[in-house]
Amino acid sequence: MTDPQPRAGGDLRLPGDPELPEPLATHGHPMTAVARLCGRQLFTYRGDATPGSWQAVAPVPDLASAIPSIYNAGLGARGTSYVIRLRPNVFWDTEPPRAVVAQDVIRGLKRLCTPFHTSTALPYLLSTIRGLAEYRDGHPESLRTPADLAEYAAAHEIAGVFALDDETLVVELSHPALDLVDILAMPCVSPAPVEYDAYLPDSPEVRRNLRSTGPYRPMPGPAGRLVLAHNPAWRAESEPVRGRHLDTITITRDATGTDRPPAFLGLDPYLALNTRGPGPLRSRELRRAVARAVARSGPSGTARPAHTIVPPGHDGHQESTVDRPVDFTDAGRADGVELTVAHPDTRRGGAAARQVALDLAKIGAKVHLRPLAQPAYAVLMTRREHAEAGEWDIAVGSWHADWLHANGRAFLLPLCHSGSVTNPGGNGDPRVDELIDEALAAQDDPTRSTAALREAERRALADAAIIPVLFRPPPVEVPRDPAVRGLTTLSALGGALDLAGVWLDLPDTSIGTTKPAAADPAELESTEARS
Amino acid sequence: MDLTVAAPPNGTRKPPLREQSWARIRELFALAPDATHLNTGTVGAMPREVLDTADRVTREWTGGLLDVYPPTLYPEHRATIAKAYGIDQDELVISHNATEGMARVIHGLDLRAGDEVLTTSHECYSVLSNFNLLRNRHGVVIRTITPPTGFDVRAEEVVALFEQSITPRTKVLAFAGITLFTGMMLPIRALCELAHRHGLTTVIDGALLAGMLDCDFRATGADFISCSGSKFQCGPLGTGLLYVRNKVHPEHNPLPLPEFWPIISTWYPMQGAPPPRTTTSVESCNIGDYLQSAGSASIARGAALARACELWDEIGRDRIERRVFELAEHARGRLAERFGTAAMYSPGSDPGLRSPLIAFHPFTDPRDAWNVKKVAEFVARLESEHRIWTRWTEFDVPGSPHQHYAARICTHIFNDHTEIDRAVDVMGRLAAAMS
Repeated sequence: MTDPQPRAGGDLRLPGDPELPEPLATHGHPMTAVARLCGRQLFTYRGDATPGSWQAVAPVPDLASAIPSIYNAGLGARGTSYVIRLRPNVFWDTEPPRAVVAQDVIRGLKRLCTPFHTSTALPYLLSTIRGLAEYRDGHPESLRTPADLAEYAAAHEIAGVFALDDETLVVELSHPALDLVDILAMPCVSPAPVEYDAYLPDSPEVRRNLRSTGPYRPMPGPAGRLVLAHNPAWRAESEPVRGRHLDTITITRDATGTDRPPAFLGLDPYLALNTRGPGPLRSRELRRAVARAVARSGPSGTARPAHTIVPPGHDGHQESTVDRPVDFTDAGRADGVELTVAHPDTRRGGAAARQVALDLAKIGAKVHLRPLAQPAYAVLMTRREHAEAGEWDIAVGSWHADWLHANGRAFLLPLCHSGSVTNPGGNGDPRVDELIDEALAAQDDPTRSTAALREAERRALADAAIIPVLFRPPPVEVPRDPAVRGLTTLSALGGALDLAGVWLDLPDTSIGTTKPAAADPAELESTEARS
Repeated sequence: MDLTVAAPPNGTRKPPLREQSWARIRELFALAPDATHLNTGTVGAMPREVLDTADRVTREWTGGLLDVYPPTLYPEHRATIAKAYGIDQDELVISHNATEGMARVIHGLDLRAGDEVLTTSHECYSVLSNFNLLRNRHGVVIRTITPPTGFDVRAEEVVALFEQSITPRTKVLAFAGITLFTGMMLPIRALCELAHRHGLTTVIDGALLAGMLDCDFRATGADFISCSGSKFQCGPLGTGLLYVRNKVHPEHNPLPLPEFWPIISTWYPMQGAPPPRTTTSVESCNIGDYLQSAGSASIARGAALARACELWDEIGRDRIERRVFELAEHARGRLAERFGTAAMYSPGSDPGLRSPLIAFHPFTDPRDAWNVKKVAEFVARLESEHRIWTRWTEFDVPGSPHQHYAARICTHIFNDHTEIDRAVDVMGRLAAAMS
């Protein structure tokens, strides 16, 4: 029996945030899957690949016309110079539709690296692309307005990123990085149109004026709901991955879904301990006492106790450390110590924080829980000044790999390196940073790179500035509607749903059949106007 | 197999090829009269006789009931070709191309975890990918140096760069005799002597050497040289020559033969082991046969390559080398005059580093050196608008964060001064228009 052919039409109801972020703010954001329907990246992943297969984790061209390699003159022998050619006939939904050009990709990268928004994906980018960190650090503190930011962007270039023409982009790296294509596949690394120069990154104003390159685009709608409709500028023939079968997608907070965890594990939760602030956890001995006290028990099912930072199934995971966890048996107590535990105000975050409070009470510590809404939590976890001011002692976090092959750095760089914006609490062992830097510089030699990362992990665990608690799949919620077909999970991209293949198996009277997309945007637009 | 070419029907004897003019020799080649072929570094032009040989031998062996196995060892062809390169039949293999030869050498080396290979970032990708496979498989450490580029590079710099990078764990020195990217002829003998002083095995990618140089492989002092048969040797595609040192001539290479495990297809003892490798000038086994034997291989391929080599012997390999280099110096001078020596990626000051492959930056803006689109368009327009075949290359330059791109020309015996002058003039005008 063959699978039924997708049918066109209908409205898909999804639970979620009715406000779509600018793509640069989608890393770790629950709306990543929806944002991917509106914004295309240089590279992406197939949603229809068999889970666990190489096709499911291998990036494919999206805006780019090919994966750059040494065999198509896209990558130099030294492994530090990529030439990326853009696919023709990809358009912004402007009036009239305007082609996506290499400068749009550069603008997107620049907007990702401003003082106005700190993406949790920055550790990968800043440690890889030549001149990106300098570009970001060069922003003067006096910048206030979109015009200020646009002026800075126009006057400063990223040394290692330049356009040869509208269709060709060069990206130079500070060291070979086998995962560059995966990094550029993250939805936060999307092109930005020139119109965004009028807005600050991910500001309310830009969220109201988003431009789309994908099959759908956000439409003005009633408060409390986000409606995506067809993007008339999207052309199926220049889209190798995403499909479009639905008339609309409606996102509301009150829509219901059901858990469908993917088959890979992340670190969820872990505890970040503040070594930078004036609080008691500057003491390594006290951190070790906390590490000893934390019970690694979670809900039954897919959760497993975590004794390492890199979960099983990811490059560099070391089983031996699981068998013989770091020995904290000589760690002392924390009698009378008061600790503030910050956590996201979510079901998982709250449960983890309450468990930590119970565990720490057993060694005499008194815990103050500090639940934070997503925006405030994001700021806390990316700005070290809050740590330095002692606003928290322990932060409950979770981290899932953004790609699933050659991903040795995907946990240790963001969570353990003291220079990463995603490690606001820092670490107490400078050798950890050195080892991670050595691993990054040796990525073209996976044996050396992995050995350095493993040593870094052992030292980070002994330092107890980060305490792994559980390994769990990322939380993925799928619609309950029994008519939903073609829904898959992207093994990469943190297990985000691939909504681009979804269609609704509704009675014939309510929907039509899939029609080939029109070749001309104007035609699509007129089709849109008629429907 | 009779490979002699039939005499002209009218019975007149042509003068030997050695005495014929270069204009007449150009007529040997299956080249379009209006085409300027300056890209022998990618693929040469076959003489008509070579093409005819491939066709004739294919027909002779098609559908017959002859024993196809013995001729596929090419014993006579190997003996004839080997003589031209100063070696013996047991030291020569007719391979499928230079990269296949390199792959079989690299994977036959007796390297273990922690052993180091010293090579350059200007090697053909197939060399680097094979060494990377060795790294992944055995934990061999690959150290890569980036050779200097430019008109004024000196051989001593190159040798010093290699020497500085040798460590106590280094076991192999691997380098291109002539780099395909910048056309620098590495100081082969000096590097081999360096290797001898440190007890290292030498592996040379000689893709561009065969058919260009009047070359004594043994005298280079190398252990392995893998050449193309279809570039300067002008044999059919899918042919190569692989030299494997199989005896010890101390005046050329005083080191014992390296431990080597031939990657075989069929012929190798099925019980026991071959005799120990010799320590004298008398071979203890035919290592070439082990590498050559490949079941029902193409007989025509070997015959055609042999015919190309015979033609080269008839023209005179010393004469060919002089001609190729004389044309190259003419081209180098014209290019330097037109674009300036600062535009040259290929060496020019040191005669020992020059080769007939010349890479240069054609545009006035130095930043166009990392504009692959512009350099590729330059080469494409030379071909489409002027029927001048060149190619562009990409490579690292020490100290530069950019991948550089260059236009590259090659001279060979079917070229002449007039077409080189025309090509340089056209390139100058085109580059000016595009700058």
